[in-house]
Amino acid sequence: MTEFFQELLVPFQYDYMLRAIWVSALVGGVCGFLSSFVTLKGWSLMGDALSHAVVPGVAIAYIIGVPFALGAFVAGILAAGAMAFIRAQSRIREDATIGIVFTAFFALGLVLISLFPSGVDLKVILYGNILGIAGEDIAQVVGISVVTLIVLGLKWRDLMLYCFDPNQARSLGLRAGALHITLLALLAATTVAALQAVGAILVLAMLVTPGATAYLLTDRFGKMLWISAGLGVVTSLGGAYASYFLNGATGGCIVTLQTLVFLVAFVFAPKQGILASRRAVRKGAAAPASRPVT
Amino acid sequence: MSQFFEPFGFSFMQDALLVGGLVGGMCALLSCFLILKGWSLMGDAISHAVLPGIVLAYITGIPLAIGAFLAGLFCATSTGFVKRNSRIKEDTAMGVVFTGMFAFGLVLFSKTPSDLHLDHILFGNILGITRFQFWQTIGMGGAVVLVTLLLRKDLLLICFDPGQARVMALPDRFLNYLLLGLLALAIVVALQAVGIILVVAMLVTPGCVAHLWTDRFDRMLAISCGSAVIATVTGILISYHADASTGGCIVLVQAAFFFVSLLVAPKYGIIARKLKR
Repeated sequence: MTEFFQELLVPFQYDYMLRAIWVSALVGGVCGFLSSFVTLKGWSLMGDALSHAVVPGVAIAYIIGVPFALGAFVAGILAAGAMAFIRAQSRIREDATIGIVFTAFFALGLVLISLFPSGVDLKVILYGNILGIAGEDIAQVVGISVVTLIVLGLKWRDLMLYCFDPNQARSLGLRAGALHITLLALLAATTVAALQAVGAILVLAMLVTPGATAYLLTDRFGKMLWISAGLGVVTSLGGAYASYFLNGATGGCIVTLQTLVFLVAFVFAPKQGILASRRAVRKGAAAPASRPVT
Repeated sequence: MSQFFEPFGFSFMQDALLVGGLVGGMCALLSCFLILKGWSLMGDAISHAVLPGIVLAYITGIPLAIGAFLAGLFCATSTGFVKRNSRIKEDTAMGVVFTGMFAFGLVLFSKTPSDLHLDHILFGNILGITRFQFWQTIGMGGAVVLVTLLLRKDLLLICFDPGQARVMALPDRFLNYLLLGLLALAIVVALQAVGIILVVAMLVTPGCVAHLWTDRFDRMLAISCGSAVIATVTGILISYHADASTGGCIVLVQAAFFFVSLLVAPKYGIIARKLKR
């Protein structure tokens, strides 16, 4: 029995595992926090798009030798700008616009990487490399996380109001444009940080799944923020830890765990779960209609 | 100029150009329906979600294409299930489902010793296509094109005006599932050419290009297919000469077509609209 427990403690003996675990937890928490806003605003696809669109930025940053977070951030903002431009200037629907822009950016990234193969490892961008994360990258992740948390901590009420009802926010004298850009910038910055942990393809999960899970568990936005941030931390901790025993694919483990938690909430959530709504139907009362959180 | 077309002499390039052209045309055909129906990102979701299907098919020894197809359908139906049974919005549900499936696929993949190349699944490997894959692509791709063309009027109606379709007693549920099935099949076929990540571009961009040029659906289909085939062939040739990622080049040429159309299209282009004002 003691051997079994010793076995469970093995990951903690390695510096790289400890680093991977706490960096994942940090990124997971920040993404989880932000994911409440993303789910509420209906920006899931924006998260997906940004995470792919940053790839050429990373490639160029490697080629010309600037910090890769900077390149990624600029590429993300450019992509968001391109989407806004096309949508304003044509009759193409929003989802199609997002599709065109992010695939074009991603394709540019692929071509750049295939032309300048030395500097960049595409695998690292796509799947992250949390197990090999080193000093400078950790500093970038911590920096981005701290700034994001501070901005969210100071502005969450305004941002929440803006996500719920932009018109109401405007009539209360909030500057909707500025809030929109703030949220977009936070999303881009967080995407860059999460790239490290889970890679471009799975960033979306970190930015959506905890928020969606929390949305099933509570009706109050304040609580939803805590739950989604907490879920982000716990699932990232757990996933990174489990990946030691499952041989790599850290990002895959983290996101699989997040999805499992979502499924549990989807079935068993006290009010919104399918079991609860079936019970409500059987009792003869109408199932609780989807009510906006307050 | 003859140098530019030199690759036509190699048989692997001939295969690649043929397969690429077919896949490009097939995806372009479907893209017209998808952008009208607002399903652009369904292609994104399904294309990622096929990964666990491929790995599971490899483990159990059934053809990879079948596993991929079933996983794609599972993704689409479970997105619908989550949406209907909770208050989560469709786009969020889609994000949760497909990332979950992709992550599960990655974990499975890392636990399964295999001769599958994740790179080939992700980015396609059109230059190294085998004979079997060649005929598989021609057969399945041809079937998708045929069914789509034969049923284009019905499919158009369920995309454009589902209410009207129901009034006309079209089997709209069946047609919706048929469109989903065609989409999943097309993605499976296209995977070999451009890989998971860029299938989305082939399923969105050509339709949007055509949408900027015309108001008539039959013309839209023709323009979409034509632009996609030209873009695919040009992309493959460029990638040969520049020694760059094939999928990436194809998608960049398509994006360039879109950008040019956005500027100069006769009625909906930016220049035309500026002049009218």
